[in-house]
Amino acid sequence: METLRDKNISACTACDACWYKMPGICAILDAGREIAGKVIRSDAVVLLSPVTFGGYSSTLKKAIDRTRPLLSPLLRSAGGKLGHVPRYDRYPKIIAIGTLPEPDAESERLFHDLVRRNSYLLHAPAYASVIVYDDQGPEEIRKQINELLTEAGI
Amino acid sequence: MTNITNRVLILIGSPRRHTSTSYSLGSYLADRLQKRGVSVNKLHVKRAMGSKDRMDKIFAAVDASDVVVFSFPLCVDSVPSHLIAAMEKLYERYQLRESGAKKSIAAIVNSGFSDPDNNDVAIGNIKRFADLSGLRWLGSLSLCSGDVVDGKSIKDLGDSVRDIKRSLDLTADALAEGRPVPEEASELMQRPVIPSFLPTFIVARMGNAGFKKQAKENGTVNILMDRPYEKAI
Repeated sequence: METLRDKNISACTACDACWYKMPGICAILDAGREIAGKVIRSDAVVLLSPVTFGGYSSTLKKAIDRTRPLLSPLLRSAGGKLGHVPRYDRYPKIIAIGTLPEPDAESERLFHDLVRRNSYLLHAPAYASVIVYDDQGPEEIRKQINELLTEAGI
Repeated sequence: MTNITNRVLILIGSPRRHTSTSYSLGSYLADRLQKRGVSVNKLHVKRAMGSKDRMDKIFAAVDASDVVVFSFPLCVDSVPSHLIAAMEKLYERYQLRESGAKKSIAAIVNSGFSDPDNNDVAIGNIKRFADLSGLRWLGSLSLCSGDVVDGKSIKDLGDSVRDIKRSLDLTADALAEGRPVPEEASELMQRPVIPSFLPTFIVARMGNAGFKKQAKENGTVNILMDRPYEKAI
């Protein structure tokens, strides 16, 4: 488990070094590089974040933006849609748990859509996402997370 | 028509700063607004992260603006992390302030992919930020195949960007008059730069020729598909 707030992770500079200068390796030598490596060596990645304007918090997004070296710059057509050619043979499943103080239909819609798109971009073989509210009890949350893991085939 | 917008702040959200397509788009819009007599300030968000003084400068610039335009690239399907960090701070500042209701937000998002739907979540994120912060949402422009601009001055680019120019011209007119981004401007910006009759595998091949050329220039074409993170490094 990685508590990102406690890590030194710089924001991606979009320098493209991970695509052309040293393919597959981020030029920034900090925890962001280590975490991207741990992501690709995992069977599944669980993302936990407050739902922030319908997306991830800046803390989580910083780490996600640094997964760019996991993709190759080359493009392919899959089902009539453009995507990156996978750099690796296998990618982890993506499971996302977003927290909200209370239901917020538009933020939730955006969050689920973002997880779906990230799963396509990052070649995840399966994905699932759920929103947990502040006033939910532990039993209800446990049930939701069990369902989430089942949905992702875990 | 008479201007009702006096001051516009353009927040550039690309980490590439002056060499970015976000800057090109923001600069062209700024130029058009200035020609309408609107005062425009441009600031780079990435530069402000981690610096209290620079963040205070952004707060002061937002406070002094009637309209704030976010111009940024799509990054892993949504808004770049440093722009989300700025939005988190701006949200804390404006959510409880009545002054926020007098400010408006618009967004210009650009991405390298050719499918305009790719930018939808990022636009949704900015709109949600505006709604939750009590700021007025003026709409957005979504550019795909942003490589056609590639950080160059839009004014100096030829006919290939005529729809982009027209879109920004219409947007400048609307923002100066306090109107939302016109639908026509959004449609012009979304028009495919690459002809839509081209199958995506051809588009991929065209893109890949350029990517391989860049790799060749860097002497990395033979290791372009390396997998260095398979083992901890």
